[in-house]
Amino acid sequence: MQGHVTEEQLTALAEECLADREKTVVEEHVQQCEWCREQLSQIGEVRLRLTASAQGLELSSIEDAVLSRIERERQTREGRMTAWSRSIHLIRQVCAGTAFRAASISAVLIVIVVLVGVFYSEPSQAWSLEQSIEAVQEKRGVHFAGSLTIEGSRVECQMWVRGRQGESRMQDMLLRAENGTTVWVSGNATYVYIPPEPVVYKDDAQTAGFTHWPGAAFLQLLQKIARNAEVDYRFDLFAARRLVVLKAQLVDVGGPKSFVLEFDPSSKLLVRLKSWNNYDWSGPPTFQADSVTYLDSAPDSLFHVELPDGVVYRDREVSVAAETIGLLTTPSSGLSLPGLTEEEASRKIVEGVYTAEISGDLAGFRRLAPLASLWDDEQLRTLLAGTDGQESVIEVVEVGEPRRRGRSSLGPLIVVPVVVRHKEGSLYEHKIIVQIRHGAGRDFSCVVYGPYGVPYPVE
Amino acid sequence: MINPLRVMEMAGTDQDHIEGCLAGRTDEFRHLVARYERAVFAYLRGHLRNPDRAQEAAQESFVRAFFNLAKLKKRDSFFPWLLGISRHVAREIDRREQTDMKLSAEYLEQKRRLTAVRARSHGEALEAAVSSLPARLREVVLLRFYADCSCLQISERLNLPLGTVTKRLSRAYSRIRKQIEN
Repeated sequence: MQGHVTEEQLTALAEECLADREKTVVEEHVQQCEWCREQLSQIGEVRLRLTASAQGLELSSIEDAVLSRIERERQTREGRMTAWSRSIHLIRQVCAGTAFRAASISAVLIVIVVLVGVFYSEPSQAWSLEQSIEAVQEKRGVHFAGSLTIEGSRVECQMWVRGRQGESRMQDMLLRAENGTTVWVSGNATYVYIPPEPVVYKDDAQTAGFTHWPGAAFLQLLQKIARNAEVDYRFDLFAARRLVVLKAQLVDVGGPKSFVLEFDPSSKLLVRLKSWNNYDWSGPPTFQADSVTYLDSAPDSLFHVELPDGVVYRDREVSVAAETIGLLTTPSSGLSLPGLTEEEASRKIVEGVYTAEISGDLAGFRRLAPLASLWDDEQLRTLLAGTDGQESVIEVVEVGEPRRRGRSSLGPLIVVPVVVRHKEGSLYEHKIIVQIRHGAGRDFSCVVYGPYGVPYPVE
Repeated sequence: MINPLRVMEMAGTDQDHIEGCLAGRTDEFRHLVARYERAVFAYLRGHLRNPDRAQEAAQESFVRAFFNLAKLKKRDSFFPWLLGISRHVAREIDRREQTDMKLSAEYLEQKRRLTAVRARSHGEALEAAVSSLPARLREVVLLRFYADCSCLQISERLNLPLGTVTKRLSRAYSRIRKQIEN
């Protein structure tokens, strides 16, 4: 061999990673070459030191400590959970897959407004919930201007939300980002378009934005179900005004969230917000609204969407949040219905969950829909029936045809449409996601995951 | 060193255990902790130069990793991802302590004492040298010596060719040697 062997070869020799032929060549060279022997010896010295250091490492296993901390943390987080509704209010459909990043952002705002309720309900503040409700009473829409963080990059965006005439529910939502990403809700459908892919993904339900637009009735609802917030003050030098700052954390069915919201004490309205998809406000915010403006009117033209030619529409698969899988696998939850097909079983369990709701059997409700165990009885009743009880279901009018719409790691996901009558007399279509859980062989059981979109009035 | 019986229990891949945790079997996380606790602790001790704080930071890193498992896109990259979380935790601790210490008159004195302690402790100096390696080199050294993996196991765990593992080890040894000599 001419010259010397490389350091990589010497290291591979020391690590016994050389193939037989190369090993022989390198070993023969090292025997004859003093310089390479010295190099090998130095490598050996470093390895020896590292081995000694590792052996001398005094660490009693932290397994038990970590597992115990996880359990404590989980209990704390579950105690703070606020935002999930079985039938009506605060759905957050998890937007899985790269095509739905933006949709998940708008869904986050549902949770954000939950916290407004907490804020206004703080007795120590200089204004009351009633004042805030009064302040938004005549407003018809909201405009947010700010940015999204998509895969680490900040993208400017704007969002408009409009309430349904005479109702507190959201009618339309449109989010436009500077990269062309557009998410909108129109009728009982949600659409997501992220260029350059010439595809609009569609959910046949309202799965993004707000369930109730952030108006008066919503604040009343939120006051009842929200928990956990800290309030502080800061002076905004640019606007020369004092702002109230709310910091809050929670975990919803989509995972941990943290927020900073700023309110103008004079108008009582939210004027700025930031939200993170983590529990500790770390990293860039997922969504940041540098300005929030309530609108006296919100014409149709605001919600007009133009798309390039050639764009095609595709249905999006339904998914469930990975964080909720644990609850869905609780052995005591769900139903096993031998002899029925998965679709037939889905219908049965949905009928069962409505029977439990109508009869006020919250334990039975939680057994069939285990995510409902995230809330205490009072919260759950409010979520199901609304603040005044008028949105409670009093009759199941029709259970529609179940449709397979996706799958999770547990098995297929089936959506069951149901027409129900609310206490105030109107008919609404609900869509419920049922998780099929496959066992050994052909055995399966099913459990209700939650709502697919929000209730939609039946004309 | 790692108990061989423990190694047998830990036979599942990282991906298997992550899937298990995401399916609600929290106890599966135990395997991941057992597999990497020493490597993470060694790294953090090198960074923080204090065994108690390193142990606390290691626990914090694992807890954060657990609650963010669903965000881990490449499930076969658990260890590098975990080290990233540990680095973040260590920096948070550093920042917090620096802020606290700068407010104190003892700051300079403590800094001087820390430097002296670091110089006296060969083990910690070595770990500090490992901690200051570039991430790619650091991963292989931690797995090789503190998680007791062979080069072949490292190549499987990090999804790298065997030659790349030995090349990285070679560069790491060279850097560590220079740093210790300095």
